[in-house]
Amino acid sequence: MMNSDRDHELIDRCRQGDRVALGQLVKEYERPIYNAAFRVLGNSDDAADVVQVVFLKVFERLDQYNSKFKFFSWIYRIAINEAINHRNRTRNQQELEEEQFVASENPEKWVDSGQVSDVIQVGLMELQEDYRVVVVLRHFSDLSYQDISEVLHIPEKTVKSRLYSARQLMKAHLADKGVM
Amino acid sequence: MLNERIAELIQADVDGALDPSDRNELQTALEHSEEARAFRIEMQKLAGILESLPDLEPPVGLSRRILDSIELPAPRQMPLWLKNWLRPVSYGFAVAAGMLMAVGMVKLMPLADSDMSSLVGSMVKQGAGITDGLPDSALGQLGVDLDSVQGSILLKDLDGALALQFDLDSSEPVEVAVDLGHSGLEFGGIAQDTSGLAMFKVSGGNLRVMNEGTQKYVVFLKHSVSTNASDKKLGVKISQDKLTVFEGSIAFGG
Repeated sequence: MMNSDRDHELIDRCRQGDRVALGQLVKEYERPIYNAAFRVLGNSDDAADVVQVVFLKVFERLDQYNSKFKFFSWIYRIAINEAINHRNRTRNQQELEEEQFVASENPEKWVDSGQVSDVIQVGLMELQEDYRVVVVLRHFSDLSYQDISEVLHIPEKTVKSRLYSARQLMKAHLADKGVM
Repeated sequence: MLNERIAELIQADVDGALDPSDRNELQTALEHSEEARAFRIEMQKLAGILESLPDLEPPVGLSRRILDSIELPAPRQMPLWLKNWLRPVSYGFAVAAGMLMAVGMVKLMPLADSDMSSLVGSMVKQGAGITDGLPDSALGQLGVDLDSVQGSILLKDLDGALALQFDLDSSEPVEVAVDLGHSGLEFGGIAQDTSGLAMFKVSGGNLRVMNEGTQKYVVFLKHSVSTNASDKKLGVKISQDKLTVFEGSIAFGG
């Protein structure tokens, strides 16, 4: 899990122009942000683009960051917003690719060849965005209800209810594909 | 139909967020409801499947792309003249205390005991390296061969002054600290011909350089008039994440 004190120290150093601190922050967050973006977008190239934009925005807005709040909540919020915006911009093309991907496979083949990962990703992409995001933050970013609430600016109660609904849908999808 | 409250408790339990005060209520429900038990198993199985996916590796080169695209404010502690010297340029940019002449190739002249305020930087013609003009032989050297950093540090005589030639390649950011306290030397200037150093500081008779990637630079040192020791040496320490990973010294006599 991210260390807030260390993050704040690195941010202070970045504000003073320390590129080593910048390198350490990028190293710390590149992978988790990439994974979250990938699970929201379902595409590696798009996820990489989003990660780059996220870091650019973070460092452009460094003066706006309030150290009373957790840095990781801030960067995750930017990442989720950016991923959703990216998805909306490219939705038509992505949907076509997903439909082609789904149509070219069958459940038996997925399970037999151990491609559970693909089944899960397709299930995620079938969820509406607000459901997908809570599943990603909970299961792939390992955030608590409170963390998710801070990232998304929604009450914890809403986090729980979205998670519940999303899980029911994921469960049905996985059962349909023979994974559960 | 499963009670909404019990479903919520089961979900919290699976997420490791169950309030201890609710545990008895959940336990009772699980003991008396087959549906609750089945739901809990399903939730645990779903969480297990989702979390069984391994983390994905970001594409190779992504962090470099990110770092190259970000500009930070100029370092506050770095004097303007030094910042200018460290600016990445396509040609060597050599500086020495007193003077450094560039006529076709770098020619390093003796360093004068002049005041640092009179430092003059001279551009080196494109193609000339910062080590051109330095002698091949070294007064002393250190070899570094660690997982995180490899290379050499050579101390060379410059006809009265000295040059500390760094040729290091580090996979992670490392801080190189040079202790001038027992050397009878003081900082005279720096030259580099690769990308900008992340940090370069001179304070209290010590040099501190942050090194990442392949870096070549030369630190010029001039003799201090106040020191006369015969067992002169330069202490070199390399740290990573504030932990010392290498320590050594270069002795160069009187």
